[in-house]
Amino acid sequence: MKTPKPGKRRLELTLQPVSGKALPVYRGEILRITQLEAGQCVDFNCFNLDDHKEYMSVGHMRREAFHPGAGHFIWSNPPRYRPMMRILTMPPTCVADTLAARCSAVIFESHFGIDDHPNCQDTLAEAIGEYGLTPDDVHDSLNLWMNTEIDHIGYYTVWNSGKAGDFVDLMAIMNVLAVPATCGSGDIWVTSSFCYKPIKVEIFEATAQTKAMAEKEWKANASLKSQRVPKDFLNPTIRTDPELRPDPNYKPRFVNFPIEWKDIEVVFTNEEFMKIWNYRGTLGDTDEEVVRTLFFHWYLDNRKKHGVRLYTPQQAHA
Amino acid sequence: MSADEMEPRPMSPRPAKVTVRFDQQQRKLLDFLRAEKKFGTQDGEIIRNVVLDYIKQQQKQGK
Repeated sequence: MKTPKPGKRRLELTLQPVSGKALPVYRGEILRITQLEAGQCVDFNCFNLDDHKEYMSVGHMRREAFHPGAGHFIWSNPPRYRPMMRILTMPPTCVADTLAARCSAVIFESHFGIDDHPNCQDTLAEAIGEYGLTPDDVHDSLNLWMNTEIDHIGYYTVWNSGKAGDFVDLMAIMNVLAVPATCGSGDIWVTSSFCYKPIKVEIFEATAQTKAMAEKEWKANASLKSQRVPKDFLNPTIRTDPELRPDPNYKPRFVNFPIEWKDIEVVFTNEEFMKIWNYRGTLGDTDEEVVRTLFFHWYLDNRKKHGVRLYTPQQAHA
Repeated sequence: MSADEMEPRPMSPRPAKVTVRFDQQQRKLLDFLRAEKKFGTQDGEIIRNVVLDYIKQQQKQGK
């Protein structure tokens, strides 16, 4: 597949940690998501802009690849099951995960005893609220820059390999509402290497080349009889207006936004510091990264609770 | 980072102070550990003791 050149940039914004934005991207346009620093996991949701009951199905993408890359489609949910976007560019340092669903408040309460931790379910819900969608409309994310690996018990996540300047280009095959969000799990999970970072989002206008390419992809991949739309349904009535319109007065309320940072000085003896130094290059490139990672590895090994259990923070840490 | 880009390993005493940025959620975990009264009371003290305990655990496991 020859990568087309993007058109004129019509939008550029920075997504701060634990925030997201719902963005219309029209057929032939290119959405670009860029690492401003390094190693920030990005959760991604996608709706048909003209019919919100059609949305991305990560489960069906997983049928093609556990880690989709350049050339793969973002597919919609059956019975539509149509190509929504095409991944044009994805660097090797971006592992795109289809296994981990999305983080939610329940995970953080059950594992850590924190009941108000930022999470992708709530961040995505706040972002799509601008278009009148509800938390129930959030679906499993395509997790960009999330290094899941698979072993004999399922999957696990390792240090994020994203580099500053990495970008992913997604071309719209249909008109979509694209929703990138900075992952909320990254500060106390290895997903984003235990530290939140901002990301950049851009949209480039369609060109004659990208329009033709999107049209061709649509005809080739969205013409099956079994790709049913509401007119084919026994009950075609969708209970809510399928057209998505923004509410100009909408104000999202992202959980714990903006993040409040605190610099903490940690003092080691020279002998202790020598031991920490040994982890340079494997658990981080700087003293700060190594110390923070060691701390959270300890926490995950010694205090993280497994499974969904309900308890108070006092019980969790008793 | 490649090996030739890394700083040389310190061979003589050097200031062993590391400044670590924690957000408010990460600091909640410090509060939980503070309540346990096993790792100290100050944020920096708790992080230090936890990090050293992790290294000790790793050494015990032969890692």
